Amino acid sequence: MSFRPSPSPIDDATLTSLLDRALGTGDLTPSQRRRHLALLAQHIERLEQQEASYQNVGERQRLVAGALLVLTAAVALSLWWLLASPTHPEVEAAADILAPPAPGSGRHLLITGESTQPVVGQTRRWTVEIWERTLADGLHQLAASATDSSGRSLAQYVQSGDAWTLHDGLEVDHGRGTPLGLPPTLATALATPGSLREVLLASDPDNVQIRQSGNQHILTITISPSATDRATLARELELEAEAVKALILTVRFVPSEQRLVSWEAAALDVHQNQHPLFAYRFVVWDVMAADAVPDASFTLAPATPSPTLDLPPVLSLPSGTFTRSSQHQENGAVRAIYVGPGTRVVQITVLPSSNQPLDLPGPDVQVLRTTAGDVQWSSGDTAESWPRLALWDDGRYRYDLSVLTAPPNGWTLADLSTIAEALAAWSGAIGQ
Amino acid sequence: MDHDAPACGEIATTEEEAALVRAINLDRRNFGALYERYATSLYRYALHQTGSPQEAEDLVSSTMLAALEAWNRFDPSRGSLAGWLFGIARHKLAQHRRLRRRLERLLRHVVRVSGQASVDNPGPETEDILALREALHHLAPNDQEVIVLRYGAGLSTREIADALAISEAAVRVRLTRARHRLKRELGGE
Repeated sequence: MSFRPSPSPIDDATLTSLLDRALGTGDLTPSQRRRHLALLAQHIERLEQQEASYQNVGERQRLVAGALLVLTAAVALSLWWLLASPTHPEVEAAADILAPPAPGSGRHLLITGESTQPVVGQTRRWTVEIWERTLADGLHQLAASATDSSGRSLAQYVQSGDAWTLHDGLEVDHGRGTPLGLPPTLATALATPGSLREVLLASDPDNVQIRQSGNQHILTITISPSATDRATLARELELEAEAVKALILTVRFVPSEQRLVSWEAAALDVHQNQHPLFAYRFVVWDVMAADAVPDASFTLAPATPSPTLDLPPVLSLPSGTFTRSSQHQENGAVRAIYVGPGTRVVQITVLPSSNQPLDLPGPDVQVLRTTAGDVQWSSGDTAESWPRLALWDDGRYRYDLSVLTAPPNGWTLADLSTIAEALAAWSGAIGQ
Repeated sequence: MDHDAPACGEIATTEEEAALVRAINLDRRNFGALYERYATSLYRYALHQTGSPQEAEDLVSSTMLAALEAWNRFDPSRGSLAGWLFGIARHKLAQHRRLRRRLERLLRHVVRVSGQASVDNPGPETEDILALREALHHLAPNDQEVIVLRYGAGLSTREIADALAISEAAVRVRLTRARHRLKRELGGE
């Protein structure tokens, strides 16, 4: 086509008309529109299912985790005392009972808990069942499963030596990935005799009351959280700021029989001291031989095994060691959770590389250059400048990262770069 | 010369846009209304940027899906809905072009292919339209895009500014410059 100038001058109106005619035409066909709308409807349905699932998980997280937060806080609040003060002999006696079973021994524990939320006036109840044993060769194993009052699985945690795996109930039920927050990840793990033992040993003797009732010895430990810790507890328990006045741990045991009778943890409301916001107690404590503990308790198969994609490694970041839980998904991906210091939880979904261009959604996507390649990142819907979402592809695998929780400015581009490079090293090693 | 009024009258006014945003915030299933409102504009923009109806259709689809995914991140205080949507479309288009360039490079190693895009089934066009298309090709890419967003997609100056992340003044300058150049090319000045 050759360009031939118009023989006559052209005015603004004519040019606008020409532009409208040339560019303002063309449309999708009705069938294309129907196809697009069907696709969008399908996508909306999937998003809604995903969100319902998230809400469900969030609800469960609070249920299981809230009580354990009491323990976490107790450990954090009193740990500084460990090196500074001598431990009371009564406390040491109770701590001995909570120590891991001797080789060849095992135990079965049942823990119940409930929380009351003043805002909605709702009481939630849950149960954690623990099987624990130490084999003759010294290998310590622990399996914990949490269920709600209707018997639905909330979380399952298995530890064998230093290795551990955690699945939350939805994943096990449906075989697909859903984000786990930090609380359920650590929650079930913390609901163990070992965590209580840490609290006891770290307690300030001035805050421990000891009394006796028959052959039972009763320890009561009162912990007064700092304003910051109270705010954290209130947020996690969905309470008004600073609503938590104190954490009370009560342990009943019979030293002569090396037997724990009961253990309770409670968070007291600043307004309703008589009615705990949170209560958490052992109701069963059976001791047995290690071979009486069912082996199946310590087996937790992935929901959807993938023969081709192995799990990403445990990573070390500059600001702390990350531990992991992993979940195989239906599409062949592996979804891994990395837990960092504080409240940091990073989720990474690893998929075989599709050779498709990177496509992190959102208008504020930026690119971080790393030795592992370009990493697209954005701060998501936050006004902060740290990378909440990231996407990159090393040619072998595609990595979709989202930071589920993090303290303010607690996650940096340097962290993102480190994790991308560590995963690239892992990917390279797999390929050799 | 007024560049502010939408050319094809299909883009939502601010009030309509606000109502649409409220409706989607209330129930995401109302996203279909957003699709109906903007699909044609997006398609025309994509059609003139890619030169291919098939690629334009794909671009509309992927833009809408990305917008749906990112809906929670849309902040009306930071810009117009149309600007946000076309910003996503531009991002998709850039990805598409990178992919196509790679594909074309690959193909050139195998067979001799023309890297020039062609509009499929353009239909009968008058001589003046053909002349205008030729003249459009002589514009700088930035100016071409502003013209297509304005007259193809029907965006207002503010919406174009939001989509391109530039000032409204810069949009006006580009529009005026582009129109001046087109008139000159078409023999008017």
